[in-house]
Amino acid sequence: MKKLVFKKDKIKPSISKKKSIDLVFDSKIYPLEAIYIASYIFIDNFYIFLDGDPNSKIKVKLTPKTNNSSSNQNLNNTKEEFLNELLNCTLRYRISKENKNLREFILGTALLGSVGKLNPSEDFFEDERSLAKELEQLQAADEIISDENEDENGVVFDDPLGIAVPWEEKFKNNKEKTHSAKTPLKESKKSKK
Amino acid sequence: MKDNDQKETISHITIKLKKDLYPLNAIQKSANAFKHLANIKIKNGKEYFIVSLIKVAPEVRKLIKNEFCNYVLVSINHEKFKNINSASK
Repeated sequence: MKKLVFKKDKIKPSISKKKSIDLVFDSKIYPLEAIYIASYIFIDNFYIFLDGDPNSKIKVKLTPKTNNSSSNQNLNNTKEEFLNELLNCTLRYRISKENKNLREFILGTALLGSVGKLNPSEDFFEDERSLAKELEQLQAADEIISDENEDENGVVFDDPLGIAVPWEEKFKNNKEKTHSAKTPLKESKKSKK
Repeated sequence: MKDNDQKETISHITIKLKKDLYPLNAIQKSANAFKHLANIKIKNGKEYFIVSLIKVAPEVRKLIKNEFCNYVLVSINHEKFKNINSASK
């Protein structure tokens, strides 16, 4: 029976003599975009350089900015942290890519729903093109309405619910009411006398 | 960084950036940001963009190469993943 022997020479050190970390990633497992994001997270404390072929293998070199973090143990910890962060970024990137259409649809529906144009329960939009057309039409309509509502100074004023009532009009009615309410009392007192 | 490929003299630093990894827009943006520290020229090689930093300010000679590369990476991230990065660490 053969004994398993692990040769130290076969394990390539990823920490180079110049106190930097060299990593090689397969782009089929770790997409380039995820590597960009993970690198960005480490950019405060490390100088990062990318090389290699994005279709096959991507090389990442991390060099610490300060001497404090350049001990072998620190570099090993950083390497592991980078790998974990890269996995995290890969997952996030994939999820965002898969949900892109859904996100756009939800946003489009919400925007149109707020205008009152779309009832989300109905199937208004069969594809993204019709959604884009609808949005453009609404935008154009909004522009026309805003032009109509502009006053002399070019300020847009829109009050579809009729909430904005001038001060004079609002309190004019109240004054009339209070005036009319006071007068019959005086008259009644006079009549009693 | 290919240290062997990078010819460095006191006043002249060369950086090779892979075309597939570093878009030209980001490099130009970085070059614009670093223009007060050196005269920067970008050459279009076969596989690499070759960035030449000439007449580098003496106080930043040691750092400018690495800082330039980091700046390009930041520019790439800002252009590509405005939304994703805001949720990170």
